[in-house]
Amino acid sequence: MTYTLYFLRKNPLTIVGLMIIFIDLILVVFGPLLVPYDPTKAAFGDALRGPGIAHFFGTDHAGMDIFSRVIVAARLDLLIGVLAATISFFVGVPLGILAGFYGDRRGWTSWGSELLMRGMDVIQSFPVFIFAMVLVAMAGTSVRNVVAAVAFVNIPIFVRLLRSDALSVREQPFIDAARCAGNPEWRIALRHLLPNSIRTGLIQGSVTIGWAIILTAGLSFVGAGVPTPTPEWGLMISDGAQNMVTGQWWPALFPGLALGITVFGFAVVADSIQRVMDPTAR
Amino acid sequence: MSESLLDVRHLCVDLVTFKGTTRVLDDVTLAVQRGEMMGVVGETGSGKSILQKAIVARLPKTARVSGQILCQDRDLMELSEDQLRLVRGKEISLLPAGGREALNPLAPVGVQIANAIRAHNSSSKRYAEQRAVDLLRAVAIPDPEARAQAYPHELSSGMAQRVLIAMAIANSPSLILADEPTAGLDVTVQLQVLEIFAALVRDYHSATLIVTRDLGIVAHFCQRVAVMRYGTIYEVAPVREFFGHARHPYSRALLAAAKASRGEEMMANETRRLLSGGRKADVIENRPPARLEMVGEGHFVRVAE
Repeated sequence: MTYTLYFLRKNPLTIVGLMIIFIDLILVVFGPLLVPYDPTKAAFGDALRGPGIAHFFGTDHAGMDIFSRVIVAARLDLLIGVLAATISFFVGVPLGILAGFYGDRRGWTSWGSELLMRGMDVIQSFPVFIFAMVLVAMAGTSVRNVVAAVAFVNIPIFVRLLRSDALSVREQPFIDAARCAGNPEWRIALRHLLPNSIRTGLIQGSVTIGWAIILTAGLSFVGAGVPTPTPEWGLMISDGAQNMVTGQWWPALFPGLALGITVFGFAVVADSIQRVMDPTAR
Repeated sequence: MSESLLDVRHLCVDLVTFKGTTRVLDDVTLAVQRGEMMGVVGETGSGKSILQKAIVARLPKTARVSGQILCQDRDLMELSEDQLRLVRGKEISLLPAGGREALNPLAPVGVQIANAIRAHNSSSKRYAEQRAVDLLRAVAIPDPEARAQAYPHELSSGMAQRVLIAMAIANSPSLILADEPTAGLDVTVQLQVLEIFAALVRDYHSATLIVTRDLGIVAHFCQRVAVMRYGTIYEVAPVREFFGHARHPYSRALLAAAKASRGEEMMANETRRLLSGGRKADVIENRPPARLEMVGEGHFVRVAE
């Protein structure tokens, strides 16, 4: 605990990251109470107004207030991004560790590992976007199914990352030494292999949050995500991109900034968590 | 018949690779008696470490093994991986080379020792950790309560090595395989660490098979010595006999090399000390291992072929 405080003092960027996440959380909880306009109310007379006093971030092509929409969208986007990333992290990391731990050994466990990796190959052989789209189309369009599909297509990335790390860590002398001390296999996997391989998994997790939101936007764009008037950063970006051509940059820029800053916050905090947990960095 | 603690018989290890098969251990027969300290010397690549790894069945996947490894009337070669786990650390423990490398960088050393204890009995976590502190005290680590919380990178290499000794001895095994236990330590620390190790081993009545390239260590600590080269044993002898009357030309070359590097006088003193008393092997075997010929009491030399 004292070390965490010391770390924060030495790494002000982490505080910035924590503040970003904190602000995000406030938006998630109180978002709809903070906005000056109804985020889904079109006002075609006010379409495509630039940023100003009345509309801080301007209005989009339907005259909806972008500031209000960016704030209200936080609830949905964080739900999708964080939940999807969390699910793929907690499924992918253990599978990857097991695949690395048991892969290329004697016995049936090695076959299990091979089978798993070939399964991952199959998932990854589909273009991510198309695959997610098909999954949502089959299961029906709902936020729950979008989260499930986005999480599912991201699992192989975690499995692969963790497997490759586990494969190299398991050859380290301390793993063999632990085995020679008579430690059971489960403890070697859990206490020796996992903590020493999880680093890239955490970083990937934070990146996946952003990626999941972008993917959701793509899904929404083709009608497999959330329906159009719903405030959602990815959807706003893809809608706003059309206005860019004609010089109205604000409909796409502000949700883009919100998304970028959020991803940055999570990435910084994930990196900091990893560093706080690493005793050799103290 | 086997009063020996560890009885390795006709052990052969082949490494089967793409380039062909390499015989790394060739018909090794060796016995270790209860409570004795036996040295295995030889040059790099002579098979010393492979021998230890074969005993605890931690050879690379490409290895093909034949022969017998008898320990407490069981053939270790016939045990399953689960049964072997119960032997490793409990009856035979390995004191690995490499110091800090052999410790998990992300766990406090006290916890790692406690895990080694808990791997073999169902003691509570708290008890095992208390015991780990006692072991750290036994290996002369100052302020063991605080050091138990330390991570491997926070320890000096001498301390890391002592932690490994504590871990190796944690379940009072009857045999400890030590692989170059002091490689990479500076000379003053080497002696200190070895003294601690030898004293502990004596207290616990454990036998030790210590692999080293340092004949000084052998002279100082061991009762018997085996010389290895090209995966076979060239000579087995009680230490006093060896330093006085080594028979095999290779053994003599080793001794000469040690004299050259350590100084004539020092070796002479060491030899004199050994010849005038010193430590004496408790049990002398008089059964010549395969391909070795008896040339004196407990003294075997490889015959020319």
